[in-house]
Amino acid sequence: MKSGMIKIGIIAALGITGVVTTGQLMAGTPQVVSTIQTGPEWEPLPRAEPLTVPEVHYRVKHSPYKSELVRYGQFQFNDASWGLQGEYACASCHYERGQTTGLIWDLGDEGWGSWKNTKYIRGGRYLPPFRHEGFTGHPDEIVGATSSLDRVCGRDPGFVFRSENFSPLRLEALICYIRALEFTGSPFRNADGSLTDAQKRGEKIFNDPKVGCVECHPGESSDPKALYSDAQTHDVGTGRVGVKGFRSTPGKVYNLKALEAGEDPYGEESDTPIIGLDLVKEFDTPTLRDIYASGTYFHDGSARTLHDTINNSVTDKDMHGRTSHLTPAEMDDLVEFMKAL
Amino acid sequence: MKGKGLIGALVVGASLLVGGVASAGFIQGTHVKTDMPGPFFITTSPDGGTLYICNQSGHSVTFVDARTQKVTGEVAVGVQPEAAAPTPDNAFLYVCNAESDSVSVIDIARKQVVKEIKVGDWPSGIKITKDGKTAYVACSGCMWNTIDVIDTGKMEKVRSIFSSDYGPRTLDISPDGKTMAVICDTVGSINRSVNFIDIASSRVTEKRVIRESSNLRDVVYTPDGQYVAVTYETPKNWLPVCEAENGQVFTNNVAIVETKLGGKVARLPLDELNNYDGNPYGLAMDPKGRYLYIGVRGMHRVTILDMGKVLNLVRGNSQAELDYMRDDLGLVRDYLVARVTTGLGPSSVCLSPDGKICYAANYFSNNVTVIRTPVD
Repeated sequence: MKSGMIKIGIIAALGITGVVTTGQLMAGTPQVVSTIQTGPEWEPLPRAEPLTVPEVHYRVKHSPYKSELVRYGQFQFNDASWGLQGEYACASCHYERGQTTGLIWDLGDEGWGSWKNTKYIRGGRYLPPFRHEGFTGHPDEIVGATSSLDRVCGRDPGFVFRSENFSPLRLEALICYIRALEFTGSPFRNADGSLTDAQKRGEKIFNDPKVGCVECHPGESSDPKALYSDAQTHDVGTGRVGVKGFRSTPGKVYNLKALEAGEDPYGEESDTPIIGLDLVKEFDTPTLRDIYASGTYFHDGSARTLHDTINNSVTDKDMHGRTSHLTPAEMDDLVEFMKAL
Repeated sequence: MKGKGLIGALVVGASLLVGGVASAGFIQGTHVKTDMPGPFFITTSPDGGTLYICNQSGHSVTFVDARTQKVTGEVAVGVQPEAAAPTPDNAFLYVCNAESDSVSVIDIARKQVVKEIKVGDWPSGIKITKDGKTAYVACSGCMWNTIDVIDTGKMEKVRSIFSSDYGPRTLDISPDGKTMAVICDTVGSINRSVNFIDIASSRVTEKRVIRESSNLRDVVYTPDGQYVAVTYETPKNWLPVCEAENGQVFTNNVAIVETKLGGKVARLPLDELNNYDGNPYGLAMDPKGRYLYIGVRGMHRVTILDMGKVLNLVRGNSQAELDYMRDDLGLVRDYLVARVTTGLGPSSVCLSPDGKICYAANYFSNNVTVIRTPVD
């Protein structure tokens, strides 16, 4: 580190950066006594004048890889002070690695009762549409069409996050950061990047027309740019529409055993709801890249593990691939292959 | 590296450059170059004389003389260093390189990397035993559940301990050295857990659930070993958000977990109305257990709690009573000492050995805030 970067700022009690808020000021009140600068000084973008037109489809004007903008965006992604009362940041759901907590949320974007799995956003720019239902296209649009975080999740400004709108430059910075997030790569391959024996067996099953994975998840394991998605929407038996048609109540019973046992269908004891409602039956085919890191699975997080996605336990039989004829060992191999992508 | 991406390939070579000065790194999660180091983790030498700062974006460790408060060196390590621990004799610093899936061993006197040890997916927490013979590394990959064990004499990984759930994020070793507490930040679960592991047998003796929890970030023992504190966020994802109009889509908490078998789990709020502690991260415990220091990454401050008052609350209430306290936005005033504004993004805090100085590593402003604590 260049010595010029080193700056020691001795700051008096309650000084420039040492504001202390306390319930009970007392002897020995904690206070900032100095700041040790270990890298370049840096300040975030000013808040500036916020956008007032929420429906603008904002397109990036600068290179999405411009370092300064990406870092401004990274800050905004992690800054809770920007939202109402400092509750949380983007990173609370898409935590700081740009991944996902895997939690499901009922944000009301399809009417109440329709839970959606938190999206894994690494590599998102490669694969529009971005949302589970395929409503929006490019990540530019998912953020840019908003002007506020609420629009990201399909709600009116101020409804969910109750944050102020972005200024144009802040919006662009956030878009740049999200666009710049890359897939992380699997830790499950051999050290030289080749597939293990189990993964090779799984790849054969994956490519078997009788099983049909590649119909919607096309890709070659030797191709580092393969996305394993046809970017289309499909009904794979996960849409929990009402038994008498869309929007009827209750929705599809998802875990009959738990319901019959008297468990709260929307309780906090389970990680997925027992019943629910969806507006549509078809959902966007997700990429399988980094699938090991992007659990839980399906639009509603109903598959907690990769096995759950293929063993017909949470989908209608053989609707998400034709797998009911596979042996347990073959299922294991198929999962091992998915973990390698 | 097992097929990890371009970032690792570009930097892994540099990480073994003995004595090399860190080159520009990458903004975390991207391939975008930056000259911003992004100090993510901070710890001190056993005597408190030196600060070691892991630069997550700079892929390096910065050394700071704690007395003069001057940077005395920088050593390039692997990609995204997220934690470090010095040996008790301060001879070596073990650094977790999260993206490289490795631990770099730095010879502190020579400021040189002398070994890179391969470990499991995404090492993000490390502790070394008091005798200095063993390092435990929490490997927090989304489908990974190992605490890898390094023999520091051989500088080799010798075995793995398996946690009950995926995502063991970090750990602490009990003061008596017999037990470790590991927090499992398991993707997809809203009931994440603390594993108590008997070190002698390497077995999980108890999985203690922190109900309705996510984003478990740090864990620390009290000096008497009777409790651990855990920073986390409470997602209210089982409410339609229309029912959360008064806020509390997330609340921010510290869990105080009794270490005895089947003990209490108190989920105490850090938030006040209109003043939430968004994204609580790193923890430091006063050496005598008087105060708890919490780096609040999203709100750019360190929150200090009076542990005497916290533990009185825990001891004086039943589990059922404690469960009602989680969302009480007036409660924190009972045990809050201060909220001290820092630089931007304090992800990690540590204390001088006497507990009189708290250091906060500020990720975005590339600096360390030095705080005089309430300890006389």
